Amino acid sequence: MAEQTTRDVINEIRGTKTVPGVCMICPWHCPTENFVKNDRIEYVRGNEYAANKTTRCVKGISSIHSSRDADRLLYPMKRNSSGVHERISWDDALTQIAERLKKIKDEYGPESLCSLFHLDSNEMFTHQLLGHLYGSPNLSGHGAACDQDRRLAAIATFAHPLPVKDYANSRFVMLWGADPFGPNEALHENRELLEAMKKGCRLVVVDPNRSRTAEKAHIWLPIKPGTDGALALAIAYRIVETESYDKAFCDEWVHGLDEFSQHLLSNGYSPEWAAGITGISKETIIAVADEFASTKPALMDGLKGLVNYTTGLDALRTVFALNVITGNVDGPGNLILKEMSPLGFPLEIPEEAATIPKKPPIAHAMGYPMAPDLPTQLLPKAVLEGDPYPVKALFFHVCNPAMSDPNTRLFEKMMGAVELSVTVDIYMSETAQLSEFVLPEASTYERAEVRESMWAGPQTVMAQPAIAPLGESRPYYEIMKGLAEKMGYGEYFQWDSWEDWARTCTAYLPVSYEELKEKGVWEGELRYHKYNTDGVPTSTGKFEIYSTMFEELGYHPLPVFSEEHRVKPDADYPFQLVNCKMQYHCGTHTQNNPYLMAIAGENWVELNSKDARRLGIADGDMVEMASPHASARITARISEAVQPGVVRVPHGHGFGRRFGSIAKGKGTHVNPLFETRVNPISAGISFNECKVSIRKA
Amino acid sequence: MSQYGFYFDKEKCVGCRACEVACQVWNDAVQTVKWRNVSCLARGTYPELTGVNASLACMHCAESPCKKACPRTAISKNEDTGAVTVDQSRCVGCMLCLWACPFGAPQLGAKGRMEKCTFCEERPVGKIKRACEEICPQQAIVSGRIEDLILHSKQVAAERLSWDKRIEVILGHEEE
Amino acid sequence: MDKFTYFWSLIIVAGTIFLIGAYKNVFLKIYYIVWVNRRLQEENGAMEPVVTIPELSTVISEAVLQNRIKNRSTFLWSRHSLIFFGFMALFFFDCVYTVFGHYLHHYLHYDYFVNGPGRAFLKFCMELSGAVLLLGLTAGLIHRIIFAEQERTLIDVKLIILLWVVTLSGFLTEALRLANEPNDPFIAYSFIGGNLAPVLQNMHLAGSEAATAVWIFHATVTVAFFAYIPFSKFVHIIVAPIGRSITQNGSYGQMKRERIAGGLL
Repeated sequence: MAEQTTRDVINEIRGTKTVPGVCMICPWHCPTENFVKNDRIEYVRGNEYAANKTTRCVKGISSIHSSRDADRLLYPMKRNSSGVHERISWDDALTQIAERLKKIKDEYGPESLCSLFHLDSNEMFTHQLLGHLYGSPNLSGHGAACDQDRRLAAIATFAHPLPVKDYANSRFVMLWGADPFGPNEALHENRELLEAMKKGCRLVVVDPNRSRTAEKAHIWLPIKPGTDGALALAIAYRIVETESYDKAFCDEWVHGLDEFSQHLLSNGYSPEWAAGITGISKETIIAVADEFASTKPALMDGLKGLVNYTTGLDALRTVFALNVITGNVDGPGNLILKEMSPLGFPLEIPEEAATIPKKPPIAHAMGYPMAPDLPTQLLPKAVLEGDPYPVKALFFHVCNPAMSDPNTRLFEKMMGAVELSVTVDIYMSETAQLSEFVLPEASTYERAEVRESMWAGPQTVMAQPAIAPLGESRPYYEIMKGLAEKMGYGEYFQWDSWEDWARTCTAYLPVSYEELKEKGVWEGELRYHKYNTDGVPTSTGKFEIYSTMFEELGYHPLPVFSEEHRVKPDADYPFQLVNCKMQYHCGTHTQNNPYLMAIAGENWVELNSKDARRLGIADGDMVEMASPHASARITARISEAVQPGVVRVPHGHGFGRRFGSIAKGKGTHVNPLFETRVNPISAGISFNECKVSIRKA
Repeated sequence: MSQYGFYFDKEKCVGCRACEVACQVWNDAVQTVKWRNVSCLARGTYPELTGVNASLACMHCAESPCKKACPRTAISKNEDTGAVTVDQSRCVGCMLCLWACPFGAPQLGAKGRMEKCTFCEERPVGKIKRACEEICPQQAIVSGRIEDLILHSKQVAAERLSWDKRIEVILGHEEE
Repeated sequence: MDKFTYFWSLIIVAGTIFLIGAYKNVFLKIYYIVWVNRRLQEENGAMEPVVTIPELSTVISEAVLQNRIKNRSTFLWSRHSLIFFGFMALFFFDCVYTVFGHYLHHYLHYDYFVNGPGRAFLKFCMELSGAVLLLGLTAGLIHRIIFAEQERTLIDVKLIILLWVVTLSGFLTEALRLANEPNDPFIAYSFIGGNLAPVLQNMHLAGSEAATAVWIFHATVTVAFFAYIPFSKFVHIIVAPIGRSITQNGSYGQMKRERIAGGLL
């Protein structure tokens, strides 16, 4: 008899059946297991065969509610002439959308369709239908609001979009504006980092506020907001000055060390210089630089705390350059240039059937040729002015820019100006309410998915439908199939069940389909130092700290520190607004969850006790927060974790119109306060370039 | 009779409260109030701050004060696992057990009866983890036989000594 | 044997049982809890003590208004309030009546409650509070019988029946007394017993032997009820107001958890 797995034990206790799934709460998508009985999800946990083992984060475990939520979208809807959404049949909805798409393509070309999505592997079908077949180049994830700068910096340095972290083997970890212990990144990374710290790994955190990660850090550098670039350059200066970089590695694998060193020294990016800008003492900078250079293996990484400023791109380029010059690349305990599993597209589309767009992606046409994702916050202006080219159709799939992007009013205007707007979501989100067509999607518990996981090595996740879709909702691939049939592309979307295309996707995996289906994950070998065998796919064949790509396109090939585009507090607006994430919510789609709302039922503005005392604000007071663009009423919280002169607001709450019986009316939507400000090179949204004033309401 | 219990590592807990919700989800049918609670404390002023997160449920004490305090003898101790549970049909919701409990574990449920951690009584001990332990992303909660947990904590401390040779660590009175 | 002699012997026996129970199930428990908490505080000298003196508002909310029951269900709260206030009032007026109406006039020349307007007032109040109590108990009994499945673990039907019998036999006793004393000047104030008396008389059940028998039965079950309090779920009458007031609506648990967390700091 085979040994009883822990899955079997739970199934025995509860009379359930295990169906492997994937968590759809955040973009790290941890593999999961769903325990089902009588078409009801009884219990969920992490997939014991995956890196996260059986664990889930608080949002993940709470998401069991979305399999039962009575507020879910249950049938397709269309907005009538008086602006009210009415129920229509699937057939009508898809026929009308297909007709409209054809008309728009004929009149304006396929480029006038933009499809925006969160991050979902079923987007393969969007790419095949709206990309390959229809011909739009404007299919984009939510990167502009997220890791745009990091991705561009990584592409420039490593020619890899998403380096991941091998904390488990690291001896020194330095995180810049990243808070993995708070709002989570990949769960296994959290566990591995803490276990590494138990074994003596050092953790340095750069963050103006004391985040959950800063709480655990050996050294916390409470930096002035937006000045991370200066600190990173000063650390590089110290390493270059003392020549403590890895000479052998640099000679063989690094392009531009001499230019980089010359650039740092001649511009005087010294620790004394940085101390004045960052508020971190010269001695501390030198100590951290020396420790980083002398400890191996080490890794440095940054995320939203950097990319939310206009200085973030160059800060991240410097951070990655620091990894490179010390030889900390793709080895155990370093940033890993993740290898993907050999997954194929689900459908076979012959080359002659594809439409080649005549115009470039809209980001290129706007003047951001290197932008990895479409800068969604620049889209409203482009749509309203028809510049650089007309955009007439908008698709949104489980993303909610009406809540997540800055300058909400302009977004609403854009939604009134387009000829076709379609939102596919599981909830009636604020964006869905502004769309003409709203299509109900099946939740992650009701659909299949084949995807790459966020583990450092190649790993495939195969999620399977555990229960029947609620109401008339359909899995995304079925929606795309229906739309394709109406658009006349039905011949490519031939399958009876999801298993047909899942077999096509996974045909090249060195594992049997049955085993993958049973376990839900397949894990390949985690290879280190892949550049030794595979090379580096940059144009120089080396890791580029002097970026030839930037140079070719007319940008500065080396990272600089420039506060030219910053918005800094002044006498009228004395606070820097920092837009953060809440540990207990993710984005804008967990606010209808009773478990999470019981923990944190609203958002708030956090300010330091010194500032609060000066303004006469007590904990729990309602305050009026105003930027030059708009103002909002929000609850104040007094916190010692926040830097004086900085206020912090977790975003995502404040649904005002129709979303959710639990979410509606709780908290404050602060995005109207932000102006449309982007990084001048990557076009990533600079949420934190925002100054505000606060007074008691 | 063996005694099972929880080992909690404050150095690993990040205060995410996944354990609270895991407990709610697994015990959905019988739980009306959180049995496991995370307390997050911070002291000091910016930037000199210290903080701690502690996930607390019932400790299933060997000599349970709640059991002794109950006027209805509604609280009993499982012979095999040492788990302390409340008999809902005997309880009158007087809350003396909460008054007695050093950890503030028993909670008054929505039905006016005391509820508390049952050590996931459906889950066979030794075979699988408790729900909170299974879900905890950092694996800050470990359950097991008390003797094994004591051994585990000694191993954790010994591992620290293997690389950290600072005198205050060796003497065991380190101040951060 | 005189029925009052029997009654007082019964009270001595039951009172002893009650006191033993109260000592064992209430006093010792609370003494132990206080000892445990003090020891905890001594062991962790640096920790701030957890407040154990409840605020007056908490006491009123928990012990008198029982708002927590209201949060569960308004109907449950109504039932419980009828029983609680009815019982408390009846108990109070009964004590006053026993002391002033039966015994005190033997020693003092004070007969306001013996044959003055005080007697009418007490009779009326006792009838009214008894009626309130009976109403609450009957509603509870019916609810418990209808929703037997859901309420089985929560409400003990034996206890409701016991208290119901106590109350009902009280009215019967009064009715039979009045049937045998038709010239009682305050008969109008016993608005239930007084109206029940002619009914019983018509049914030929109102002999003086019957009156004595029912009186003895009522006395016995009432005293048994008091003796049973510390040993049954009735113990909540004593401990719930204390426990709930001291643990302050559950925030006491949070304070203790935070104290533990503070100890880890």
